[in-house]
Amino acid sequence: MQYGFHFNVKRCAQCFACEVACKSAHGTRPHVQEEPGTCGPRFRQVVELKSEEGPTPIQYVSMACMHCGDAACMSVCPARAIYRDPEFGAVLVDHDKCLGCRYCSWACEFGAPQFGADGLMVKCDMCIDRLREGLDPACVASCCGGAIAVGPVETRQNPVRESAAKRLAAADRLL
Amino acid sequence: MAQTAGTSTEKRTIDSVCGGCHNSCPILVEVKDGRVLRVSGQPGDPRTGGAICSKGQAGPQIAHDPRRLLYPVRRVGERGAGQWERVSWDEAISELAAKIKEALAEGGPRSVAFMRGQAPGWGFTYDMTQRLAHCVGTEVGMGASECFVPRAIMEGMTYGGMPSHCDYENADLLIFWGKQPAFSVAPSLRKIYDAHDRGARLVCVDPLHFHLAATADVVLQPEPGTDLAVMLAMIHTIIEKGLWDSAFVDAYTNDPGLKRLAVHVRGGNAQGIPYTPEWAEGISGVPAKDIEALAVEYATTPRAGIVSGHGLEGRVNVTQTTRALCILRIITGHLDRVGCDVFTPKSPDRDPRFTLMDHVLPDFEPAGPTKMFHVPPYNPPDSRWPLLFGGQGLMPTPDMYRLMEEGKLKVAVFQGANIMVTQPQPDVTRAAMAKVGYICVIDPYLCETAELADLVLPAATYLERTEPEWFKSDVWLPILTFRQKCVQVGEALPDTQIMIKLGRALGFEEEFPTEDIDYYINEDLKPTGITAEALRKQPRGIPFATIEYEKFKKNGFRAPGGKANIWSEVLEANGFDPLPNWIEPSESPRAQPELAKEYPCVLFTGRSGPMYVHEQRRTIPWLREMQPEPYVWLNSAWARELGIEDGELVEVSSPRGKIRIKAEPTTIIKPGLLYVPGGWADANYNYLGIDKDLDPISSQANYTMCLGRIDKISGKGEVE
Repeated sequence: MQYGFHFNVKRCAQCFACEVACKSAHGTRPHVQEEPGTCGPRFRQVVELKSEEGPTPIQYVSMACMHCGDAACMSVCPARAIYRDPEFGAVLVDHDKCLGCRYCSWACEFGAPQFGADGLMVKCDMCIDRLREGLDPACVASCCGGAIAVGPVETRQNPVRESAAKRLAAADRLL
Repeated sequence: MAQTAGTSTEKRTIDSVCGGCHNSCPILVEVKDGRVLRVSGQPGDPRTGGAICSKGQAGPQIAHDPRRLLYPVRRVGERGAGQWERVSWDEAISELAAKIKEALAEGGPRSVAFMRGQAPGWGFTYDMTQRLAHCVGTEVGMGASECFVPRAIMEGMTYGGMPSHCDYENADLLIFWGKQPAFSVAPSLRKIYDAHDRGARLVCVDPLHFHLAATADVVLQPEPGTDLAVMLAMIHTIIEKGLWDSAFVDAYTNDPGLKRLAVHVRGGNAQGIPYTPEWAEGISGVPAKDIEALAVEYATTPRAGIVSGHGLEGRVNVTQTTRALCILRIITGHLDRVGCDVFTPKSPDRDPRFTLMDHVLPDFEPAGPTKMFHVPPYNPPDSRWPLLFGGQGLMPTPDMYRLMEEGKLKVAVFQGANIMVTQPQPDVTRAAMAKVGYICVIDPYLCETAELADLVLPAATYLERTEPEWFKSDVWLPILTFRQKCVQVGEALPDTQIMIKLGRALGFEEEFPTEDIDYYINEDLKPTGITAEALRKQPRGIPFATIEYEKFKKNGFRAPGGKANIWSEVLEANGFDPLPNWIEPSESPRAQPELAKEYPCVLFTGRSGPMYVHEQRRTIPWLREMQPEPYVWLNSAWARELGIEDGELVEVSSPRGKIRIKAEPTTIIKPGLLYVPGGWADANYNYLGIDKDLDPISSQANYTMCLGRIDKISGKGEVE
């Protein structure tokens, strides 16, 4: 089955809970011994979109690996280090095979592949260990606004449609 | 006995309470080998929905930050020279106790000060600080700024207290006024967005169009410091259009028919002019039609709440701004009703004798159990702001500064209060501290204030403490929770434990008979019948009250006359304006037009982002990564006109000082405004901020906004 993230832009206030949840779940740099201000890989990042026109000068999008159905990173990897988890469809990297050549980062449309101090590729693994235990990924579990969801792409509920339906019901237009 | 922190190699998960800020959200703490592995939310919790914010999740790095102070240190060189020697706890406590005894003998009890900041929390831990201070014979002083208290006391005088929470589940209109939940209560965002999803309208009133405002239906951006004008104009609109809740006003307020309020806003006020939306537009920059529309929408939506925040604070008009906000809620009947701002007990009842008030006031007779803060029914000799003291039981900050400056303090103990960073004009603080005979700072770090001390005691973080807590945020449900010690880090001790040790060393063995914290918890919580042992068995919380609506129908309001005070009888009795008049900020383009020629911008500060609390957490790599440096925000189109580029080092100045800081042009701020986030020790707004011209009611200075200017460091492209 192919799982994917769903993000609802109307429920994100850039509180950064997802970013720190991800770091905590993966023990990602910057580690506590490092100087404050040091940067580590950000598997998930809340990106700011600023606009000088239109009614909304700012929007936030929390982005991680898209775990694409046709993943460019997998296609280009010369070492065949990138593979798809058979159970959840997560796109994962095998560090025993990864060369650190960074082709994947050239091919990825979303900036997901990043590189650790050892030069090997690291990125969001959809919290595959948590999924196998029946838990949501750390970012989903900790998202304060309920903006990030995960589930099978084929069958998952459509939260946007659901909330629209709720508003219709609240407006007494149907009932 | 309190359970000791495990060093077992088995992984354990402990139910506890966060202290990443003062909101005290329930958390799960995974511990192994004496280290915190992970902090996460408690699934299914009614207040957080199982989420926890970025600061909360950074718990492992907060507890095990190698930059923490791990043992007591004593100054060896000159004050401020940064030379320290390690001492044992016994040595440290005996030295401090000896200094206090010496001061008591020479200068009496009020030559000893206990000054308190936010870091150790405001519940049980504050009661413990009071217990010790009262044993010594003095009152606890506010060390840091009274950001929130002026609002709390005004709401208390008006209708008996701040609402415990806004009824998000049932509201159809939510107005966030100077409040960013992403900063201060991120776990409540889910409830807010759930309300929005089911059709509730979201309104943000904030000079900065960001965070929650990104998805709000309406955003008003008043000039900083002018919220009062917008509120007065909303009151005017509601009265002119006859939209007030007359049944509620006539039955439950002290201005039936709004006879006095109507005269006031129509021109019978200090300015002698009607507070119309057009008038407010001229001051705030918010279009009159938007003010009128919001007033109409609020008045005509029966289920509507206003959630206010720090954005209203640090202003000389903070108290009357709060009064205007209260009046908006009152005249529209949006109090304690379904979908509105609701009153529920915010703290469990505590034993009024626990803080040993009788040690400073021998004939002290408690009127009832302690709610919220302990409020002694008297005014201490050194307090010049009786309403402030009466509302919180803390000596106002300006009084503490005066006592320092006059050399009246022989010993000062600072607890979780890094005033060298948090107070306006750090040089004033430095000079005041230099006049204190002996300074002890209790803090997890050798912070900027600790650098000026004689003795520094390492405070435990919330992951190393055992104490009862209750949730404090805009979802302040009446549930008593239990913070549990998860790890021991170095020799750090909880603030409460330090109070006990010091009390015993001072000879107060009767008042501090044991080091077992359970004894004090049980004594303080006596009226509830809840014990430390019961909490330990139910760490996810024991309810101490139930949520009921419209209690005013039975009990009226806990304010003079049992009525919601549109006309404030307390303010009137103390010689202040009983109805809110427009008050200009100390510095604004209108208040100081001459000064504004040289300093043409409105320069303001505020909370420093979702990842920080006040001046705390700058050392935590996971958090600092998201905002590594301070910056000044200015409008991006305006920055292009000025020739200021993204990331350029610029000079920002006010009539009081200047700082160098990186410019970050942005779309979320209007031209002519400059925003510098608070809490940065370098590029500190407080070098620019105002520390004088205090609000006569609350003692608050206009410390979050002033006039300023921005200049390129090359000297070219100055703003005129």
